[in-house]
Amino acid sequence: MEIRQFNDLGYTLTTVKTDKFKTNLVSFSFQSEINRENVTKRSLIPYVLRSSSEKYPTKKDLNTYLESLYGASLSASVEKRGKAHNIKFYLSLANEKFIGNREPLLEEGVELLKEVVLNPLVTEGAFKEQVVETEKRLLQEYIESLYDDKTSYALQKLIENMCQDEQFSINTTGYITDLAGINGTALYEAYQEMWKQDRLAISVVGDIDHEVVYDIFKKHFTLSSQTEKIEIVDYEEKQLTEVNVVEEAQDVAQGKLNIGYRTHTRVTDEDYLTLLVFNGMFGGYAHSKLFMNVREKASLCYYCASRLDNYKGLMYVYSGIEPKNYDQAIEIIDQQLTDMINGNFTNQELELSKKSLINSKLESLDQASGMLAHEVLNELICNPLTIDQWIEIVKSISREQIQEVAKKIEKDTIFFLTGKEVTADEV
Amino acid sequence: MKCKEFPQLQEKIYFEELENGLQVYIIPKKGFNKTYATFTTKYGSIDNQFIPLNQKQMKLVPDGIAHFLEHKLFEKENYDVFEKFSLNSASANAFTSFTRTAYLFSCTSDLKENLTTLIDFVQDPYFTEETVEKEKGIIAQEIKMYDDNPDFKAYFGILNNLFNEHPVKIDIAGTVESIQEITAEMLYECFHTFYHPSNMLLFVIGDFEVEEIMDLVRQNQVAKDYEKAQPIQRQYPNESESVAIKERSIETEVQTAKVYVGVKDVVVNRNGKDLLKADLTTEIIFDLIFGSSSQYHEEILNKGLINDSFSYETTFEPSFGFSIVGGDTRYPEELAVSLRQKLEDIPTMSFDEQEFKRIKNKKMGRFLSALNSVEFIANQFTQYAFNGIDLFSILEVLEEVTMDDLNEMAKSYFIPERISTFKLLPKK
Repeated sequence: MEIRQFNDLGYTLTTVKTDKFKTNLVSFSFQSEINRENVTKRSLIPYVLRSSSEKYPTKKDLNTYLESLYGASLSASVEKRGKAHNIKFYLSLANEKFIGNREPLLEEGVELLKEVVLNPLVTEGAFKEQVVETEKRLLQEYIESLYDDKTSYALQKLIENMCQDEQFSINTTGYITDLAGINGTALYEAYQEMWKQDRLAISVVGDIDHEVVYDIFKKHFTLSSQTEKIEIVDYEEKQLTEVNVVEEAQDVAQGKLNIGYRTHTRVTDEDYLTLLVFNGMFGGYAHSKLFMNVREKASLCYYCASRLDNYKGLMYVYSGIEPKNYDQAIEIIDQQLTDMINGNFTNQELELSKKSLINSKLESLDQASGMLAHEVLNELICNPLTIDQWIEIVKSISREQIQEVAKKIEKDTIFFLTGKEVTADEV
Repeated sequence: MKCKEFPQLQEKIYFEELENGLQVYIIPKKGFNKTYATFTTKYGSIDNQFIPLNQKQMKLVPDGIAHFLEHKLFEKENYDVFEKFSLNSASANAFTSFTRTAYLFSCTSDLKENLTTLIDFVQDPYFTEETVEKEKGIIAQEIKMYDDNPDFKAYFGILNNLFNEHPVKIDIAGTVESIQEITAEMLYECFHTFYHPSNMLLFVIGDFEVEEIMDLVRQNQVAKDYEKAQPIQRQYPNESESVAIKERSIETEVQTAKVYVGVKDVVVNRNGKDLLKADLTTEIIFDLIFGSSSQYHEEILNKGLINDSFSYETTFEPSFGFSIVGGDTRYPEELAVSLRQKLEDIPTMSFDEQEFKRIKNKKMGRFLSALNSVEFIANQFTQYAFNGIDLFSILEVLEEVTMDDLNEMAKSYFIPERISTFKLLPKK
C-alpha cells in the first residue's frame, strides 16, 4: 500500500495504491460545520444531485449509464463526524483488467462524478421542483422509518436527551418540520453555499498509478481555491449534576436499555488509545466485562456492549433486556465500571483487549475504508502515527493508565424503551 | 491436493477431500493482513426431520435447535472459546442459516493456533443440562430482539404466506416456547448426525503457505477417530404447487407500512449448474423489471408508491426457492396490487436484448466488487459448494444465460397461484 497526497488542484486529492481489490473506489466529501439552520437542506443536496443532472436528467438515465459501466455504483449520503457535516459521494468501478479488453473505466467515472456535482439540472436559479419534491418525500419517509428500528431509535433518543442543548444533538439527516419550507430555489442557494464554504476532499483507492490519477483530475476537475480546514472535534462540555433517567413505553417485545456517559477523552487527547483499550475490556468484545457478566453469568440479554464516539467524548452502553430485569442490569453494568476504576481486572483481560484492538486495526487495512480512516485520524492529531507506532503505544498501555481513563468517565443519561403491558403489571 | 486456476479473476483455489470426508478449500491472497477461516456444516434450520446417526426412525426435532447447538458449541468444560481466540489475536463468530451452520474467525497472526482452535472447538462438544438451561434465557432475548425488528417480521411473514409445510418458513432461532423443549441429549444427537466431517467444509483464505496449512488440517483430522461416513437421511415435507396464503396483513408497532410480494419456486432437487443458472436467470429478470434503471421502477417511484427501501431478492436452494420484492410504502394497498400485477404479467413480456446485455455486464461488475471481501468469498463459496456449484464459475454461467432462458423462466416461474402478498401495517 502506498499513499500520496496532492494539494494544488483546489482540494485535497489522496491516492491510495493497492492491489488488494478488483475495483477502484472514488470518493468526494464536502465538509462544513453542522448547523440547525441548513442541516435539512444539506441532507437533500446529495440526493437531488444524484437524481438529476444536465446529461442524466432522471435517476433512470443515470442508473442505466452506471449499469453500462459494468455495474458501477454511485451512492450519495450525509454523515456527522463530531462538529462536521459531510456530504459524500462514493463511486465504485470495476477494475477493467478483470473484464478483458476494456478501456480504462476510471476516467469515465471521474467525468461522471464531475457531471453529478457540477452540472445539476437547473432552470432560472432553481433545481427542478419535481425532483426536489420527490427527494423531500424520500427523506421524510427515511426519517420516519428510523422510528421503526427500535434499537437505533433508542440510541437516537438517548443522544437527543443527553446532548439536548448542545450542537451535537442536531440530527444528521435533518428535520421533517423543515421540509415544507424548502423549494428548488432555496435548495439551489444552499448548493451554491456548499461550493463556497465546504472543504472538498477527494480520494481514490485501487490498483492505480498515482500520476495517472492526478492527471485525470487535473484535466477534468480543477478548482480555484481551497477552503480552510474546520474544527471537527467537538469540545463542548456540560455540567453534570445527577443522572438523567428517561423512560418511554411502546408495544415492544423487549426493553432497549441505553446508557450514555461522558468520557472526557477525545481523539486528539493523549489518552485516546488508552480509552480504546479500556472500551475493549469494558464492553467492546466477547471477552469484555459486560458480555461476560450481563450475558454469560446473569443470562439477562443476548447483547450488551459499549461503544465510543471519540469526536465528542461519549460512550454508549446498549442492551436488550426483559423490562423486569432493569434494576439488576443497571446494577451489574455499574459494578463493571466500578471494577474498571478500582483495577479489579486481570492482566489477561488487559492483554486480550490489546490483542483484539491491534487485530482489528490490522484487519481494517485490508479494506479501502480502513486505509483512509487511518489517514483521517492522522490529520486530526499533532503527531501523525505510523501503524507500527500506533501498535507500540497500544502495547505499552498500563493498568494504571486504564484506571485513570476509567475514572474520568461520568454517567450522564439513561434512556429505557420499555414494553407497555409489562409496566402495567409491575405497578 | 488439487489446484484450480481462474486466470481472468487472478485467483487460485486449492482443494482436498480428506479420508474422513472433510472437504478443505484454500485460497491464497498475497498481501492481505487478515486470514479468514470458516468451518461449516451442511445443517441449518430446515433440517428438522432426519434419521439420527445409527438409528432407523425418522425424527422431528424442536424448532431452533440447529441455532441453539451453534450457541452451545462455544461452551467448554475447561476453557472459554472466545478468550482462547482473543489470546491469539483472533476474533471469532458463528451463524446459522436455513441450510448451514458456520463457525469462523479472522486473525492477523498465529494462524496455526487459531485454525487448530476452530477445528477442535467445533469437533468437541460439551453439553450439560445446566448449561443448556442457562442458554435459554440468552436465546429468548435474541428471539425477542428479532420480534421487535419489522423487516424481520415482514420477511418471515411473506415466507409463511408462501410455504405450506416447508421448514424454511420457521424462524431460524425458533420461538421462546420451542426452545424450552431442547435438552443436552438432543443436542448430542444432532451433533453426531450433522457434524461428521463428511458433512462439513473448511475454508481458509489469506496470505500464508498453502501446503503448511493443508498439512496442519490433515494431521489434526488423522488424529481423531470418526466412524465411516454414512449418507444423512433428511426429509422435507412435500410442498404444494400453490401458496399457503394468498394475501395477509398484520398490524404492529410501526409508523411505516411494509409490503412484500413473493413468488414460490416449486422445482425441487435442482443442483449444481442448473441451480445456479436458474438463480442468475431469475435475478436478471428482476433487474430488468424492478431494477433502478427500469421503466416500472421510475413509474412507481414517481407515483410515490416506493422509496429507497425498495428491494428484491431471490434464493434458490435444492429443497426450496423463492423471490421477494417490496419495501416501505405510504400506499400499501396500491403497491401490493401493482407489484402482483407486474409479477403476473412477466410470462407474457418480451425482453430487450440491449437491456439484457447491460444487466449481464452489471452483474459481472458487481460480482467483481463482491470479491473484494474475503468474507463474501468464504461464505458464498461454501454455500455454493454444498449445492455442487463452484463460486468462480459464476462469470462463465452468466455468460451462458440466453434470452431463451429468460423467456422460459418467465413462463414457468411467475405463476399466479405461486404468488403471495404480505403487508405489515401500522396499528390503527
